Amino acid sequence: CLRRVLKFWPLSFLWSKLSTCEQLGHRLQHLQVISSPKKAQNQAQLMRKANIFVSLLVDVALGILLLSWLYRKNRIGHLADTLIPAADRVAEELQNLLQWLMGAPAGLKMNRALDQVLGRFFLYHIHLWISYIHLLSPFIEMILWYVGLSACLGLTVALCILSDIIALLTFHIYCFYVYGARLYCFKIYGLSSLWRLFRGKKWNVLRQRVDSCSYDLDQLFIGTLLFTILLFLLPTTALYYLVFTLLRLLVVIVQGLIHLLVDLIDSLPLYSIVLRLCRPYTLAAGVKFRVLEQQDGKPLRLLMQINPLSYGRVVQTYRLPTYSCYPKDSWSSLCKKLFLGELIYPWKHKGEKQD
Amino acid sequence: RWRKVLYERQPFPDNYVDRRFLAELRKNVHAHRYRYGAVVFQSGAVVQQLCSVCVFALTWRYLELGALSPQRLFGAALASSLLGYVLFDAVDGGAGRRESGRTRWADLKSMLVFIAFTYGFSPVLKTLTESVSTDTVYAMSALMLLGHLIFFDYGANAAIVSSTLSLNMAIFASVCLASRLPRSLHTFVVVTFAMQIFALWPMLQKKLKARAPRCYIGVTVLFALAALVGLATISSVGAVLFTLLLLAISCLCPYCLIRLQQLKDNIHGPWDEAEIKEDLSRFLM
Repeated sequence: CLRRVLKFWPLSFLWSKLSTCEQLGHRLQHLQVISSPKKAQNQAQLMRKANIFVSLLVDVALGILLLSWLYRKNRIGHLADTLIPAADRVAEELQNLLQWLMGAPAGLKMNRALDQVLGRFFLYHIHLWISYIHLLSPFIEMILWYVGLSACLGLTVALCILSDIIALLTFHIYCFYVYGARLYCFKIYGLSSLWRLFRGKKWNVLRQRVDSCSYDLDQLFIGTLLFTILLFLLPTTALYYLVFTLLRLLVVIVQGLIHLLVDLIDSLPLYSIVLRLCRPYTLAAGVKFRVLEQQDGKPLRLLMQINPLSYGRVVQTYRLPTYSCYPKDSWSSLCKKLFLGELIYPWKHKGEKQD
Repeated sequence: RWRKVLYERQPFPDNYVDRRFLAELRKNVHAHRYRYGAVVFQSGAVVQQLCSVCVFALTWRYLELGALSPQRLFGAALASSLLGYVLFDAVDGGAGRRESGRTRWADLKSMLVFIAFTYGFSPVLKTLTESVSTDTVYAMSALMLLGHLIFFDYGANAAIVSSTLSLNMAIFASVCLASRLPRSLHTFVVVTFAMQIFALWPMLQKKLKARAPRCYIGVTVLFALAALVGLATISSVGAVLFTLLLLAISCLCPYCLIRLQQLKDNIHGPWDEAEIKEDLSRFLM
């Protein structure tokens, strides 16, 4: 019945966005695998079950360790106390950055009117954000206390919660990035289309190529005016876009590192590694023969020894599958997306609809 | 006897030629014979465009110096546009309008769209190049106006001609220059004036050239004189140079062309590429 509830929007939307919930779902799946009454058919399934069990145990142990460290000496209180000033500090730095952009940043020539408009727009958003944080400040400690309790479910869950908190705290950066990217994308699209008009050409949708076209006089005139306007406003928009994209990329990188760590803990086959250490003959890669004695007339006597798998092969063969897939985009397509102003969606999860 | 074929064994060597060698050579079959007067007449188009550019730059300079007020310029431009509009129809007696099927109502709508759009966007246009240094603005405008002269359609059938590009470059130059003027009303007036002198004036001149050549010559000479006089009030050196340029283009270049035509040496013969002269579309069914 939990699944049916989750199908309703916006609950399913929230569920897909928070990585904590993904991780919890993943662990639930693992529990299901372990607690199923069927016996394992072959060695691979047995190893898998064993790996999952050990991984869960280690995870929960580490989580409880973290819990005991956190709740001793009222560290949660300290954390809550430093959280609000940290968020304020981030907002203040952003404000300084916007003030710098509204002046003449790095000696670049910005269009003053557009600069002021964009700068004020973003400053207003930051003002809203600070008010929102201050509204929440009395409840932060309690929220953190209860949320910290869930670390007993495992270290991975705690790390995912940290990543989600970071995402929530930098939500305004995400918003700014989306605004900047949309504006820039629209501008680039308009500019490329009007540049074709400037040269007297048109994009032929049927043949997917650029053809010459004879425009009317009024189309030409208005097109040229718009082209001039967009061209001269480009440095301003591009600068805002660049700044916010860099900030967003920074946040994405931090989140990505946390997820990498989570993946590592998830997928490491601890049981197999320990088995390889203690009883290497159970994991065989092949056999070695050694000649014991060789005498004429007597049959050949050989000693057979099992060649154990190397550690790298152990990890590779018995890795647990994780739920996240790394970004499919190569570096060149990422750069192209950045240049054109298309939005970048990092770390899509398997099983999510790709739109 | 030697025959000019390769599929027969003949008692002559392979590279043998007889006395009919190069009898089919023709020289300068398609060369034009130009007449001096006709070439000078055609060069009037180039002279016109040069004077247009000069007049535009002069008007901008007057507006910047404050010697000309925008309202007067707008009034004068409007009056001359109306006059040109009437003349445009009167020159060929309404035949062109009947052919193209363009109503006066459509013309009026276009004009209203121009004026509204330019007036609405003139504050934005004014701030566009404010932070760019003056030298860069001058350089950009000069480049754009030069491009306008290069790509203009003077009536020649060449691949480099693109009337769209030339008009766009001229409007771009006018927008660049317009930001140096004091108020947005100046911007509006300059852009409208640029539109009239670079888009509407050549249309009228082409028609005049086709229908009334003598009128055309008179109008060109008057226009050039007006440009020269205006330029002389700003800078006398410029006026002298401009006169020299105009004389070179209208008198010296045709002379050079005719002299060089005599040195033309094209050879034609049966080795040329075949040209398909008839219409082969009947095979496309």
